[in-house]
Amino acid sequence: MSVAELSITAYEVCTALGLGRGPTLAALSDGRSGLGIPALSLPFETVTGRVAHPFAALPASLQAHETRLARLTAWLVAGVADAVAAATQRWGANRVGLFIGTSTAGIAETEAAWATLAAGQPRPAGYSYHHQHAYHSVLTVVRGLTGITGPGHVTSTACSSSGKVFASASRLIRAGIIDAALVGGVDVLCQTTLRGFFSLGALSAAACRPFSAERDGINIGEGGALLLLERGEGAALRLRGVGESSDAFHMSAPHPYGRGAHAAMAQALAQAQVEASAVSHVNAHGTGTKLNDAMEAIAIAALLGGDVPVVSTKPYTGHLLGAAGAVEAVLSAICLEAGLVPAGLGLAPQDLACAVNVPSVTLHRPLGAVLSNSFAFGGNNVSVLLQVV
Amino acid sequence: MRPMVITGVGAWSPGVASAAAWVERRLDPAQSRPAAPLLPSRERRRASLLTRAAASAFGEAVTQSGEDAATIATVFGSAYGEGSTLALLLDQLSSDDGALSPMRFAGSVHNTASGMLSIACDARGFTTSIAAGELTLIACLQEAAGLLADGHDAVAVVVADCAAPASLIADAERFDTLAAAFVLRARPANSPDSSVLSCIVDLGQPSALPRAATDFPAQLRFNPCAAALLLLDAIAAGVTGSIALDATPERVDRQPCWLTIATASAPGGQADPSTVGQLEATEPEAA
Repeated sequence: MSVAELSITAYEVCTALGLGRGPTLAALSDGRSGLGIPALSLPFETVTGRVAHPFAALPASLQAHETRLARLTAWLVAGVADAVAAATQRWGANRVGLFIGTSTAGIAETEAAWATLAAGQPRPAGYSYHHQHAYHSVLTVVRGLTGITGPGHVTSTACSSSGKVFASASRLIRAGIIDAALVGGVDVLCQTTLRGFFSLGALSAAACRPFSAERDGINIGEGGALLLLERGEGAALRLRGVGESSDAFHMSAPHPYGRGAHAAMAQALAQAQVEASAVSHVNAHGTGTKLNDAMEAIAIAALLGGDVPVVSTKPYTGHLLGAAGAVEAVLSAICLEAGLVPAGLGLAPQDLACAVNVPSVTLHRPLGAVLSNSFAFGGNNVSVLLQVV
Repeated sequence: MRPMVITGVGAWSPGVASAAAWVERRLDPAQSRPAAPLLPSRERRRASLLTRAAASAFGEAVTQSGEDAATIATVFGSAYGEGSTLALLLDQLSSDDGALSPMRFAGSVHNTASGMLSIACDARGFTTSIAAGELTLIACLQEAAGLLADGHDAVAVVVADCAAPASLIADAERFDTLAAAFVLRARPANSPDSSVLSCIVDLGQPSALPRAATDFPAQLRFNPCAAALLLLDAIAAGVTGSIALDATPERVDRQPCWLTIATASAPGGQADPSTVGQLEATEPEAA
């Protein structure tokens, strides 16, 4: 399959590092984490990557879809609105697709409604399973804000969700069905994910330490990113390949030797028709669990060798679950454009069994291409290859 | 883009054991538990009704198509995902200690059926899990079209939604569990042009097309995947011309989208008897 050139002509991001490119780049460059004390009431110690911003209410026409997730999404849409308007003008609103990854959707509002019901009170008047809880609610909000009418869906494959949206969009562009797509991912902090990962013994009480010998689990974050993909060579930042695979091993644990992770990265390289040596750094899934980092290091070293810099941004933002793929694609793009590889926070002492090159300080150097990995429950893997030309 | 042919179908709903049982309206009240033969018995016991229903429909369609469950690409669609498992977790959240079951949590993700079946079938290739409300079937067909155009030989589309937690929706909006599956291949170049089915998503504009008959109860019509039942009926009936796949015309306020499929028969053309139906996904009409 030959590569149709696919440009990333605009992006927007928000995480615990801040709103937009400027504060995000500054934190990555300075090695500054956005993790902090959770705002949610929890019966255990942990830290979270919270976006402490009072997002504006949705316009009246979209009021039925009001959730924190929808408000955060609307903030992201505003950041790419001019570019999306130009794209719908250029290609036609029905030739622009919409693909969003989320794992939580509006579950935070459902938790609140359920608690009200459990207390013996009636269902809250403003609550709607169809308009708030539903995965597609976020599509309705973005369509309403942008006028995009092309094909679209929400991908929800847990932590690989918003990596896979790059593949859905690029396949339909290659097939000639659409010419552009707004892709991205959004997730917000909620009780279900925090207590769920705690129940699995996967949550760290302190900031996560990917590839460290002393790593003991993940932190959860929130936020999102949107990127506008357009056919052609309109921007220097390009989506070159996406690899997708299944471990076919276990619902909540990765294959111990990274079989699926290796397959996803290799497929991304093959689709881009580039050699492994073209990869200038890897944005690892790097959650900070024993199992993930061990298997991911094996897969990276087998495919790319032990010299290429490998970084995980999870100690900066927390693990954004369904939003991780798109957010980390943007973080990777920011690093490519700025020529920096962020320091691996909390690394020392590095796990010697993880035979990859995790920098302990920020590296400043010209970069070419980055592989960004996301691996998920169900053994669902995705690797996204971005390049600056 | 090249049209697609449907080479296998499957379905499961309470009382509905298979796609054939559905189109012939052979309802069996004893049919309350999907067989899901692809899942190992231990996994079948812990799987939700949604995942078992999806596994049953998937197995039926793949068997009919003759494809290999280990190598076929799979696209799972569900508007609401694992709603019954979510309800269990919400009850646990409301309990005294608020502790969640790790097994239930891992099984609450939207891609539970996708993941469990990939493990059960040792399928190491492509799988995904997507949602688009009442457009979920169409979104899955579009994803399949992209996969076939990218060189995949065959794609299984499996759409499924389970009954929503009763306390979260109005009584009038309740729906039963439903799963349906379609195995798709790119239409061979030398295949006749008869019975080419086109999928058109027309966002925002009420369709002027005649609607498929919706002679079944609201508990099924209100399932977000009910369009799949209309498609099964259309394939079985050899429908020609264009119809709207709109299962709940009385509820246009809720979903401002209309589904249409169009079937077009070339005069005198004969469908390839090895295919169940043919389907072409085209770009949506401008709204």
